[in-house]
Amino acid sequence: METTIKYSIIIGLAALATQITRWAPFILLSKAKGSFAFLQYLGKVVPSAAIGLLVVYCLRDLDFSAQASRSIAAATSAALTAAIQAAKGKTPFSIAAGTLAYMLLIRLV
Amino acid sequence: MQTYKELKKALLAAFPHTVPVLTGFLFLGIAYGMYMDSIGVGAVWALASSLAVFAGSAQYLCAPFFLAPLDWASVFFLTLMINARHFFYGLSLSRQYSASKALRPYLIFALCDETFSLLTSVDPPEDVNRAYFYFFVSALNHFYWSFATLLGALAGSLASFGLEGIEFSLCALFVAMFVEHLKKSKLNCAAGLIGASASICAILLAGADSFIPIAMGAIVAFLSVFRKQVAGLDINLALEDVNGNND
Repeated sequence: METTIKYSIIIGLAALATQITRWAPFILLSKAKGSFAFLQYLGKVVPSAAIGLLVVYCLRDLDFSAQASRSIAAATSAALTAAIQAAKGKTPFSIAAGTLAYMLLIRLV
Repeated sequence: MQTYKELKKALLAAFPHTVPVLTGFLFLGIAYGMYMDSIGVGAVWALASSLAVFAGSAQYLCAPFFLAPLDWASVFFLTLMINARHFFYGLSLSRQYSASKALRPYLIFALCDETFSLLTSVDPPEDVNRAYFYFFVSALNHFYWSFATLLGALAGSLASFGLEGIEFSLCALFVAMFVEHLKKSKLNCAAGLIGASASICAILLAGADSFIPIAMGAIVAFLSVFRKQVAGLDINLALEDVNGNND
């Protein structure tokens, strides 16, 4: 019984905190007045900036100091994905190539 | 009947875009389910967490708290901090989402990294209902994650599937979407590079565990201070500035 309550509270709080981060911008934007041009500007540039943040976020544990073969595999595969995407622009293909490269590299390196 | 046809069309248009998410979530979700099972929390709670929270990194972060005495403040504030990046997603998608009245609450509820990066990078075909398309991208991703969690928790110690590393598909998805943004226009290219470099600086400053709020602050500050220069890269934004919409 006690664990049931504790587990429910943990999941409830994590869900609540997550929902706050998801709803806040929508609620703030609906209240915002007068700064339309600035918000329009942010709406245009923030998506690209946020994807830049996401890329760094998913590669945040890269470690070049030691003999970290995982980091080498991740950096190489990410670079490969980017190169193929830049050259061909075919998203599924670049993702598949990058993922396969990573799966191979962590087994070989 | 018309609605049913439109729904089906939107589902078929959405599904191919979510395949990289499917492969990534399948692996990470199974791993999360196994982890929750291995610390004795159990399949039902793992599934409940994935359905209700649906934010992978926060869920991993919160897992140890299930075993310790209740520490509600840490659960709440750690989740808030790691998920702060969602704030940008709402900012980016508010106009796209305002079109779909009835579905909007669910779209916001389930707005994860992967859904955000897909919906800001790919457009549905002209003849597909946008709101339905957004809905299916969100719901499919939500379903993959929850289903995989349950699968992992039930499979228990059925350790390796021999697919180690397939979770990299999520990282590859972000990298590919990033390149698309860089290619889209000078404006998007500049913004993307600002986002990435600010995040790298924040990691060097604050470490990989707590860099997100700092990176976000730096991005907004930089974009605000250099608004003239950045907006100048886009002819429409630059014209608006000239026309005096300068607030």
